[in-house]
Amino acid sequence: MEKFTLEIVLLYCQNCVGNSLDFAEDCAKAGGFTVRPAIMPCSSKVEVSYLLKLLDDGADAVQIVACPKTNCKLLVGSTKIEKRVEYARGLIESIGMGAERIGLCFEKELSSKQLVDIAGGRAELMRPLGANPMKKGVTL
Amino acid sequence: MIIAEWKPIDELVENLKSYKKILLVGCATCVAECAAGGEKEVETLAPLLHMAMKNKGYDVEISTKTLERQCEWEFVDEIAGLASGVDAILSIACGIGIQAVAERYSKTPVYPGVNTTSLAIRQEPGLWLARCAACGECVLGETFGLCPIARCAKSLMNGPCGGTRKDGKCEIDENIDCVWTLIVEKAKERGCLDSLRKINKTKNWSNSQHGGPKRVVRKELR
Repeated sequence: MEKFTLEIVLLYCQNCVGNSLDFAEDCAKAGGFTVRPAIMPCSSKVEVSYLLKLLDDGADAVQIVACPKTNCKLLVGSTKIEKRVEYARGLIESIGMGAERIGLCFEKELSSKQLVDIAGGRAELMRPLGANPMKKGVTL
Repeated sequence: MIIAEWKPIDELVENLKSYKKILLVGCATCVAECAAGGEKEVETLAPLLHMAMKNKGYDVEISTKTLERQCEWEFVDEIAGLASGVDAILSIACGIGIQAVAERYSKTPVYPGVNTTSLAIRQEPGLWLARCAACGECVLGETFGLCPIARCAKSLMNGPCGGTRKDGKCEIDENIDCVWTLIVEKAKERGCLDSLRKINKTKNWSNSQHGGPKRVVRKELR
């Protein structure tokens, strides 16, 4: 098996972050994993199919960051994504991929460093699962 | 609407493991409404199935398409090009759609990705309740719009039975209303409880599945 760095896709709600984010610097500082951040208009815009496609394309894990449920500007966005994440985790667990490849947390006013730290937390949680077997270059 | 539910992934993998190129076809009508076979579900099942198969050592290529209606030939014809280039087709439409695809593309193996289970209504998000059994002789006029065939566990025509719970639920499931209790309540509400004492004609079950495959002919439309 080739050596690899864990790749964490970070999907975060635009309303749960502070004004200025500097991912270039904070991502570069991340050790043992890389982060692919993507801003979402609301966490509820994340569909189950997106999560599975990201994993199928080789991401080692997907971390979603939503607003606290009482703070959601769309009122039910954070509640919706919580249910979808639970469903998606069940699906990937059922095929032996490990539920920890998908994670969700509820936060607000985050800096880019805090977002990268959250991605790092996900990397540590899923590290025992090993590399995503869908990743190119990984042999089963 | 027609209700279907995904088959277990292991069953799909087992059925498809000998193929390299698979076309996953959905239907944007009933099974989309019941969140089992529409475009969203096609795009969810495709990566899931791909990962499940790869995890078991089967490297497959899965293409996707969602037809407007898989039970109409005009729409089924849309996948002619795609169907000719694959080893197998997985359909997540209802049983009607699956058979239409299998009939039109008879040289390609077609597999069901769902189990078609009932005719139901979406009561609230994420909850579907059976409402019709397609029994072929509708009695809703005598039962205040409440179907004793689809909604009574015993399909009784003279309920309620002795198994109704004290809270009016069915003995087989505490979450399902005893439809005959509802019928009686509705009769009381309308002041026509006596109408339930009427002896009805024996139900003609030959109009349902018991009478063999159904064939409906409308000469004026042919």
